[in-house]
Amino acid sequence: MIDLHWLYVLRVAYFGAFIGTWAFLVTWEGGSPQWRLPARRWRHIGRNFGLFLLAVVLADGIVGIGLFSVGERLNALPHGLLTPLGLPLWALVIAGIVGTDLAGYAFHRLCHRWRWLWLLHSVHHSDHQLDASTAVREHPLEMICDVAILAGTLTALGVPLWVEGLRAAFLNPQAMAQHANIAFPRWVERLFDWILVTPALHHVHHSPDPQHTNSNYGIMFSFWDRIFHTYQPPDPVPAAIFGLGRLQADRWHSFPGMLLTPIAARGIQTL
Amino acid sequence: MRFTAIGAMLALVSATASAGMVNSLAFVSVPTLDDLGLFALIGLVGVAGGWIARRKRK
Repeated sequence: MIDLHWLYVLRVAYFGAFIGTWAFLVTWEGGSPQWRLPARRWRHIGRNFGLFLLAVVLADGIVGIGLFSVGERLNALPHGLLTPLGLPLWALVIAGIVGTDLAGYAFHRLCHRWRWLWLLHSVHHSDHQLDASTAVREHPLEMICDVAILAGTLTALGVPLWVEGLRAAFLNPQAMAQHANIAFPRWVERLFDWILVTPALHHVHHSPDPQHTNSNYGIMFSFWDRIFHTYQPPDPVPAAIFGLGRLQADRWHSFPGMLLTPIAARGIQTL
Repeated sequence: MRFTAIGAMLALVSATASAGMVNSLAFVSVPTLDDLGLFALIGLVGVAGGWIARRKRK
């Protein structure tokens, strides 16, 4: 249990990191993009955020709050695998962050392996105009799985659910930077590459080349890819070609198009 | 890589509401005007930072 005052601070940190980072990146992208901006940039951003809003309402409302009662159990210390060890709070926080990141890595890898999960995840990968808003482009059903896995992992470990809010305050800005249409300085990439998934590493993952797409699955930490041999170093000269070859047409990127992709794209064997 | 941990967002909203006895039901709280002002300020700082970054990179 932590002081409720700190939960409020966490909420401000969470929203502040989200809004501040996005405002920072979208302004930077507009002035000096790494590759050409989309012809209708704000429509693209609006569609991605529209899908995001629907996914949040469904995933948080139905699964997070309805199924897991996250709001009521946020500050509770569940009885889990780590409970018998009697770890101090700081150790539980670290275990929770590393544990959920490993679960995220595993789920992400499964998304690329299992056909029905890939059909959901392809909504995220079909974006051929990568920018900070791509980070929030996720099919609602995939986000439902995501919320269930994260809340389930923390509960199983015996870690309070607010730890996910703390992790998110760092991870969400990182996720937006990973997708941003910005050439970050090389020293930034070199400094963080060994521990964090940097934008250059993640751009490799969004390549239409299946060999590259099926690599660099890390969410926050890049060492999972090194440990499990899925690491692919960034190209010295980035190709700046993204998306999925069979989902390039505009109809796949409208709001209903993205929502129905898992059904409409079922017949396409190689996306 | 996906934008993750969304579940925590509304959970934090609801938890704060419950703690403040505003309403014991989850998912009923909205950020106060103070919160919105703070988030808007943070957003403005972000825009200013992005503006500086894009001018430096040109």
